[in-house]
Amino acid sequence: MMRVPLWYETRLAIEFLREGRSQSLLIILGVALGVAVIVFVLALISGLQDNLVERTLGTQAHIKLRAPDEVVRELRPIDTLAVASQRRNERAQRLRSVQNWQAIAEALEDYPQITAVSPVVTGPAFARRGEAFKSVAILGVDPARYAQIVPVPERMVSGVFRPTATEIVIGVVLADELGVGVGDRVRLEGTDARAGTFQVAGVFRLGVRDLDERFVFLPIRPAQTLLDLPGGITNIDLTIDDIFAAEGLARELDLRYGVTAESWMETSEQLLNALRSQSESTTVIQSFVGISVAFGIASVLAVSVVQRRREIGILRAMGSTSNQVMAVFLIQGGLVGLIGSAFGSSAGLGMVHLFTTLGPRPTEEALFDITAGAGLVLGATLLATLTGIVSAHFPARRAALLDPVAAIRDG
Amino acid sequence: MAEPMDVAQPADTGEPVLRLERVRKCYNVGTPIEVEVLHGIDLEVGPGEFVALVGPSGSGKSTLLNILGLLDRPTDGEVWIAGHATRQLGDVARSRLRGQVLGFVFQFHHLLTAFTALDNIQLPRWAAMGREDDEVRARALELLDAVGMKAFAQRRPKELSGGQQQRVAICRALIHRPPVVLADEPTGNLDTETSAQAFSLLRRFNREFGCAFIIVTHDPKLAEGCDRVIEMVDGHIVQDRAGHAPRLE
Ligand SMILES: Nc1ncnc2c1ncn2[C@@H]1O[C@H](COP(=O)(O)OP(=O)(O)O)[C@@H](O)[C@H]1O
Ligand SMILES: [Mg+2]
Repeated sequence: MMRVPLWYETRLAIEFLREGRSQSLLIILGVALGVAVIVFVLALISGLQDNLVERTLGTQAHIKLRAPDEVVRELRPIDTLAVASQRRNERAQRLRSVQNWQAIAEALEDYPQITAVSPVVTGPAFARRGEAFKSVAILGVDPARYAQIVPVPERMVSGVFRPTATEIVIGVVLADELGVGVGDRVRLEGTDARAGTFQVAGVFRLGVRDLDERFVFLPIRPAQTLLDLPGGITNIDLTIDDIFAAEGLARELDLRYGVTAESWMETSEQLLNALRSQSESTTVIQSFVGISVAFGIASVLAVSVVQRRREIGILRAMGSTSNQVMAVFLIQGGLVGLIGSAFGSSAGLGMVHLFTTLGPRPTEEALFDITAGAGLVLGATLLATLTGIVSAHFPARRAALLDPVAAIRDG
Repeated sequence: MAEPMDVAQPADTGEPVLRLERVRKCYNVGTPIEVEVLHGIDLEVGPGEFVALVGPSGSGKSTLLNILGLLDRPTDGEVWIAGHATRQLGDVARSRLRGQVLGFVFQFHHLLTAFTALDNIQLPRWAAMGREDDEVRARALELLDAVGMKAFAQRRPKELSGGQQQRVAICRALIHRPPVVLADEPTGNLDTETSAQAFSLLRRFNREFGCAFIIVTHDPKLAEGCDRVIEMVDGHIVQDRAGHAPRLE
């Protein structure tokens, strides 16, 4: 017969747990409850975070590179317009191109952590259609590249995301305000009265009012012409694989390319703070649940050690080492954690399922999408098993150090 | 601490299977209530000897047996078990010796209630081998058969009478054919008839397996049925003689 490590100790642990039926069940239930709460809360919070991140980062680059700041801080494209009307006369400053941007963009392609690189030329303009007149932000992009930064093609209300030399793609709010649709013509007026008339090729809805009201997509060349920035681009948009590495990478790019790199973590500080405090509160919840589960396991096993004093003495008399006795109780802790977390994760996943199908939904259009992955379940199971073993440590030590003579005599 | 590689069954060389040399035992050492309960005991037990240990309550019989069984350490002196000096041994080596060279029978049979009779008997071997073994199982069944309990193999202790439980405990002590079996008042909890049966069982295994037995008993009739009677009083061996009853050969 094959020798299985810890076979003897495991056999004893299982029989002891089986014999102490109601005690074992109770503590397994306790562990299950704790794990269910943890799985549910974690799934909920991570779902919420994914949702928030998706909504925020779904419409912006993770990192934006632009020409380094001069004495007067250059405005970000969206802000540009917000302030443009008030400070039109102050804006003597021209848009500045990122120096040597082709080489930089090419170099960025080689970073394994950078998943998309899109040069953008952006600046303020006006859109005119008959009497209607709106201030907008022109974005000159390579549509295929830009789609990797913001998935505009997936957000089309009508038409297609295919700006050309004569065609533009605009937001749904702007389209409404100008009273235009696909096929209609819009006149764009850029820097120094440079202007052109374009046909609307498509209308998008990104879900952020500001963007749906102001963004006008063109190819790079006509945008350069309108903004009087021949051959130049104002920024390079990046997406990366680990969004929380954005700030670090931005600082690195700053130094290496002599540009100003701004990560989403800087621009969306509030979101980041929200995510952080959510993570902190889940950690607190997890710790409290974990600690109470650990105490539960430890106290039930401590009682079991007292109850089994005499049997432990007998095991020692029959040649079990104190390490073997210790292992019996450690394994009991581990088993309780393992079995409890198996039930607990199932219950937690069930709760998540109920919540997503029956629970409240923040908005009608965006269903709160929660996915409790296998990783979460596996992690919870592993953690609970480990917690079981660790919390069994003190009772197990007591069992191991029992004086067999006293244990057998007193029972 | 040094651990013996493997504790083989000792060859029958006539060497004592147990030897105590000036064994003293004190309790509560270093406190005002320190007491010495064994005062320099010297003792040898040869292979296959069938020894009764008698004496008034509190004379130190259990203490002596626990020291012989490596369940307790003497304050002073040396204990040889099957040729191994044990003073310097650590827990693993002592446990291994217990599991391979010694067998225990206690007054309150002490079976593990979670296991069947058959499994209880196998437990000492499982502890030593770390696995199940067909041969061990077969031998456990043989022993159960020998004590007339084969039909009860799958019963749990709760489903057995006191006498039956003690018979299972005796089987457990003998599963590895230890050179020495230590029994502390093995019949103390049984009625006269049952205790006589249990005692004759010990005698039978002594003859069949050649195990030495040291049996603490208060029953003079049982004691006199042994080959050798050792009497203790107040932590001293006061008498060491042959049993009076003629041996049934
Ligand atoms: N753990 C202990 N602490 C203090 N005294 C003890 C302890 N164990 C036994 N004794 C004392 O040692 C003496 C011998 O006890 P024991 O060996 O149990 O005697 P017996 O088995 O012959 O009745 C008794 O006086 C008893 O009170
Ligand atoms: Mg006693």
